[in-house]
Amino acid sequence: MDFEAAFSSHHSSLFRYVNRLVGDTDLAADVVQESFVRLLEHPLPDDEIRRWLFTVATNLVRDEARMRSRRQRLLTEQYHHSDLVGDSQKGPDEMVQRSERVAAVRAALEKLLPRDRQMLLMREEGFRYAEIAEAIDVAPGSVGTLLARALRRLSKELDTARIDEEESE
Amino acid sequence: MSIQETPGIHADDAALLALLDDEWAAGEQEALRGHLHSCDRCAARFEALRFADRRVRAGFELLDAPTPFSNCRRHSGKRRVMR
Repeated sequence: MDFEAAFSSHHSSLFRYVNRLVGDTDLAADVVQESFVRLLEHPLPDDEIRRWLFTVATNLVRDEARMRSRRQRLLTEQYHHSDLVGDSQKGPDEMVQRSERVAAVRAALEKLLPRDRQMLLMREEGFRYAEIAEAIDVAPGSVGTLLARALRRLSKELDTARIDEEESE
Repeated sequence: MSIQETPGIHADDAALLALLDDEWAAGEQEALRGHLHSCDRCAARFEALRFADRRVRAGFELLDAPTPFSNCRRHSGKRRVMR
């Protein structure tokens, strides 16, 4: 196993996935780091690394006992500090509006089942249906149905929160 | 999964999303696209799914933060080909 190649190939994608899942960049960085440490301790064939990393990271997130309270706290604090760091070229009004939209997206995500969140975020990272099925332990034939349902549900929640397809631009 | 081309039979959301996600084999993909050209109902649902997908992607992108080590790592996110 070429650890450096694995890190280079999967780190960005894994961090994006975990950060979207937990809404806490520090925690996401910790989870990703721990996932790679575990990979170092348990070398795998190259074609198994990506799915294994995402599964380990998802389990680490799930096992994080403080997660729920942290997320709730972050939701309430998001308004105050979400983009104040690293976005200094935007005006205060724009930063506040963006923070509100971020909080709205996170609240919409929280309304989904954890399994549905994981599926949608893995799909977004380019996982194939067969890989998603294996990761969440469902029949491959049911992935499309579950994904479509979750996608429509999240889209509806985002619509309610007035998040549209040009929000991130 | 199989694609029904029988008149009056419509593609379900799973089939349509699989088309959006490039999950179908080439022949099945072509058959389903052919069906969408002749079925307004399925075409409308496909567009609705595509719109939902764009909205969800935009929402996810709002959540993103700079990746640690991003100055020395290239982006490895895989883009889907059919959107």
